[in-house]
Amino acid sequence: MTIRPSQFEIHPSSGVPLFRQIVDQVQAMLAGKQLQPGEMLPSVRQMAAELGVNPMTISKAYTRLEAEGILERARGKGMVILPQPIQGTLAQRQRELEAAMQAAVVRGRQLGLNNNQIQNVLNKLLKEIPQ
Amino acid sequence: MKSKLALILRTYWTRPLGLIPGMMIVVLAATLFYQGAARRPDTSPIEPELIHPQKSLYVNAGDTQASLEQRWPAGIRTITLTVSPDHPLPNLGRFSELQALKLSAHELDSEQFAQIAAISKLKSLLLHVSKIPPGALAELGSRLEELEIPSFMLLEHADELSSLTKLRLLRLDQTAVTAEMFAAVATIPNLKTLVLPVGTFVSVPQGLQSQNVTGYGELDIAEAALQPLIEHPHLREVYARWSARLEKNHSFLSAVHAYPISYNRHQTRAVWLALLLMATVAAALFFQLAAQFLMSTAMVIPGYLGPHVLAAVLIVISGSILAVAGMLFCETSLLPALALALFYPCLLAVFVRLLSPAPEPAWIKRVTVLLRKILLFGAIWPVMLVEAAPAWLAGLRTWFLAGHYPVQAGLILLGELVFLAGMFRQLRPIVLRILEANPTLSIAQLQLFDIWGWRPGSRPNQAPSWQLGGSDAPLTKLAYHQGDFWKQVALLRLGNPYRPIRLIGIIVILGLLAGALFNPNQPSDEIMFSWANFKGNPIISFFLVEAAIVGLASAISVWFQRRNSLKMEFCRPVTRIDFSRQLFWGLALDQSLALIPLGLLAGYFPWSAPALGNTPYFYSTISLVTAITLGGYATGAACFAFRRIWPIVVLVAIEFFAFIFGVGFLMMGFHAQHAPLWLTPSLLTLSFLLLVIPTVLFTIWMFRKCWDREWG
Amino acid sequence: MTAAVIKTQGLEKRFGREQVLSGIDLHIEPGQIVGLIGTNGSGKSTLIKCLLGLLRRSGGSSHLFGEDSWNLSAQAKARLGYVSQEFAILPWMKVQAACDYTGAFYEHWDHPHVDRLLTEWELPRDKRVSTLSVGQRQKLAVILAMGHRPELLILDEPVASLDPVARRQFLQSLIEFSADEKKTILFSTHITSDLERIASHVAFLRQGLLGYCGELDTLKENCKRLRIHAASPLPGDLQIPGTVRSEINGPDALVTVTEFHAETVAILSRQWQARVMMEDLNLEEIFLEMSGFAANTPLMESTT
Repeated sequence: MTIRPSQFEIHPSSGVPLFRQIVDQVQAMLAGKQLQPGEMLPSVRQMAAELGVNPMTISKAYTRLEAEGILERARGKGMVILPQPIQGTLAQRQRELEAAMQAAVVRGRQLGLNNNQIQNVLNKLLKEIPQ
Repeated sequence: MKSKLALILRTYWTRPLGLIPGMMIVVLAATLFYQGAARRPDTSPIEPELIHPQKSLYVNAGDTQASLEQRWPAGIRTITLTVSPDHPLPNLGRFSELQALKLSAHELDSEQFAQIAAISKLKSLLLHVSKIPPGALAELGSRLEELEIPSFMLLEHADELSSLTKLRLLRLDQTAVTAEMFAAVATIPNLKTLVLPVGTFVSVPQGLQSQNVTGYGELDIAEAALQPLIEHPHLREVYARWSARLEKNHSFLSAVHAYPISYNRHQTRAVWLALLLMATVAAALFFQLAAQFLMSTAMVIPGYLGPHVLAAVLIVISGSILAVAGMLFCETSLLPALALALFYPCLLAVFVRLLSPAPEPAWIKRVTVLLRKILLFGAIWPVMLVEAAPAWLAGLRTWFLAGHYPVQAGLILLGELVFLAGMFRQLRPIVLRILEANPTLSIAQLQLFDIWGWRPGSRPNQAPSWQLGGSDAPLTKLAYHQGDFWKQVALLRLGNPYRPIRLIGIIVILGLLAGALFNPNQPSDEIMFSWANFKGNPIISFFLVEAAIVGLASAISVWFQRRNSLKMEFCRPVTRIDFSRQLFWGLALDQSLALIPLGLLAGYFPWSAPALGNTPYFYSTISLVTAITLGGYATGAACFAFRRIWPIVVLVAIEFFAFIFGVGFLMMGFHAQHAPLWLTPSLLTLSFLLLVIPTVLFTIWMFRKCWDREWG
Repeated sequence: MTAAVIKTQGLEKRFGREQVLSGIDLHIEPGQIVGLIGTNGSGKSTLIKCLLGLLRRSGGSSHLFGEDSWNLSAQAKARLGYVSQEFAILPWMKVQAACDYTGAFYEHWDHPHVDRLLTEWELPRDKRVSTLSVGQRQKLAVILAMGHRPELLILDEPVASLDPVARRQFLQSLIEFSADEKKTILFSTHITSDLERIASHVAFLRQGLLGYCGELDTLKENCKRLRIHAASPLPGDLQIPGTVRSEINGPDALVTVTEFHAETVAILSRQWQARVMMEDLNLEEIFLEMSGFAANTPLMESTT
């Protein structure tokens, strides 16, 4: 099953480069289970035509994703999502998450929330985004 | 209002389009007044001739017979001879083509006269002798068409006069004129024109009412004495230096026209200058009004129109005052002066009317466009040809300027005033109509310069002007021609909606039609339609020249407008030098079509009057005109060489006037037979050489500029 | 190394005493879509005209397809298409006739392609060019420039007069055109949103000199605006590498940098206990910052 280009939301006039937006969205879709391994991404031409952007941008995004191991170019078929192995030891991954979460916790302190309140927010989010 | 007016008048001399004509006007006015101030008598003869030996190439046969035959072949047409005991009359028999003979001698005996009579083609005889044998005239009688003899001889041979059956022009030379002479003249059966040259002085015949002598050389004679002339069935014109009394009542000869014998060159030059002055005023006015009015804001700003129109009226009035004053200085009478002064502003009014979009139907529009072109390029001719005119026209002109036609002058003046007033009052609606059809108009887009004769938006899908062609048919089947230079040139030319053959052809045909109707050079009773009108008709020559000018100017104008898109066309696959070459050849090919009417003209002259047409003078003038036409190509090429507009305009204007002058010479020399005598063939040839070389160099320079030019 | 499509070195252009271009070094490879941005009067059109040989350069060198710009050969010109700001197409011709006429000059004119574009862009074939609206004429100019399938397309403010629909159509066709990897586009515009969609490279032209000239994505990644809120007042001569503009107001600072390094944030937060918020800038804002026209953003949003 191929995902349609219209499901991508791109903002050419935002500060984020287009190819990065696409890369980020593919990653977000993967994380949000909207994309499953084995699904196809639309061809470069199709994406470019429907989104109204330079095909080279799409191509660049796909190359990036390929380099990150998320996509694979299947001969004659297009771009296929690869199954995502979990990379790195638990400790490494947790350290990565720590960096990302630090800003959030600091913000929570700024807002004057105590530990419990912050944890409530965390639980709520965990419920919303399934594994 | 006053301050606004001052402001507007100031723009007239701050703009170059107002300043340059202004300077010209000052120069012209100064010359005009100098003319009037430097009053030397300067009269030129009007008298008509058939073939006057003085005005065509001749042989002075003071030479011996041998050298005569050596120098000139047998085809000679005119001879001037002085016969004396030392120089006897040579054998004229071998000159079988001889048509005109001017003889000065003390007396001719019958033997000599027999020789003269033996010349079979003799048409014109000028005798400055005191005595000829009796019966001599009768012998010649049936062949002669033009005769000049001393007037006393008329009386001596009065009985022979009736045998001069073909005589059309009689010139009585330099002696007293009496009533009996007129009676004798009246016996000449088919006489059309009588000329009494200057020097004739009064005699008071007995038995008739006598008048006082009113000055040397004026013919002041009782009407009764002229009665035999009036009753003559064929006599049309009498040229003499009439006394003031007779002049005032110039139709005293009733059915016969009385004309003066000479005209005042100062006066005609003054008229010429005044006309030129008013033409400049009209041109400056036109450009100023166009610049001031042809923008949409002009219609919107309140109180804009009033002061501008007032300023224009003031300019016309002041110009006219200058012109009229100058003419009055030179003895022109008031009404004719006024009528002449307003001639060019009136033409301007007509032109403005022709500019505003004509109502439907379409054929009116097409006629309007054609008229406009002819008017624009032909308007300068009245100025050029003021002096050149056939005898009767010159006579009329002199009478007119002297004020002897007050009614006609008054009517013309009235008509002009009406036209002018109409233009000024209708300026607003006219401009509105022009602007409505073209919201984004600029001067360059005026129909004046838009030779395509079609405006955007007026009728969206109308094809360009019919006389220029430009249909789309040939464009659908174009194919790529690689490397073929001439096909590339043809392709480039296709991009112009310009099919000049139609345009030039129409003007030539118009000329032939007009010429068939009316030939001012013919004797006045044969003016209207006849086949003879086709020969030597100045109207046909005029239209041929017009066609050539319109063709040349159209070509330049078309390429001038193409400049806008050449920027983009340069980016097509063509190298810089090829592009320049293609442009230059395109212009040359387009302009060469205008040479067709000139070629017709060059053939027309020899055909019309072989005597005049085959002379070195004629050929050298033709080459002069050709050289000037080459100059037209060179200045037209300036379209490609210069980025700014004003050098092109200046160069083309110079070329335009040079062309008119050159052709003016040719036409004057041929039709009016007043070719300036100082214009010898050698001078003309020299000028030709002096023109051709700079022209060629100039063309090369233009090409290099085009080659090196920035197209962006 | 592939031959550069456009290559200039030290290109200068002077009009009388006015120096419009003061030494441009431009290098465009095949397959790039380059957007040329500059304020009005910065010399964009002049640069383009110098590249095409429409204007003569006053100094430096300029090469197109390896040939000197002033004397381009016919073959070089057959490989390029140009749409200018003042598009003067012969006004008396009908649209179809104008296409046929232009086509006759080129060896490889793609009639079906032109036909298709005429239909797609809804240009009436039977109307005279002068009766078209400005937008329609601009579209026609673009069609005429693309009909011979050029390798290089140079556009000078091509969309200035187009309505949004037409603009989008035009961009679509440009995308189609560039789908072939060997085709290059150079277009000058001041509508940055269009560029962001399709340009791969941008070049900033300011006062006759090229500012940034490189990939658009890199530019966007590297150009950031930092909002710094420190615990203690910041020194006036705070030097952050790659700064284009900085406003320092006590403990708060607004700094625009063109080379963003992650270490900068770390250093700032360590040295001055500063909290740094990074803003991504879009092309318009980048251009404004680099042209020295500061967007009037307030220094601090209300936070506390």
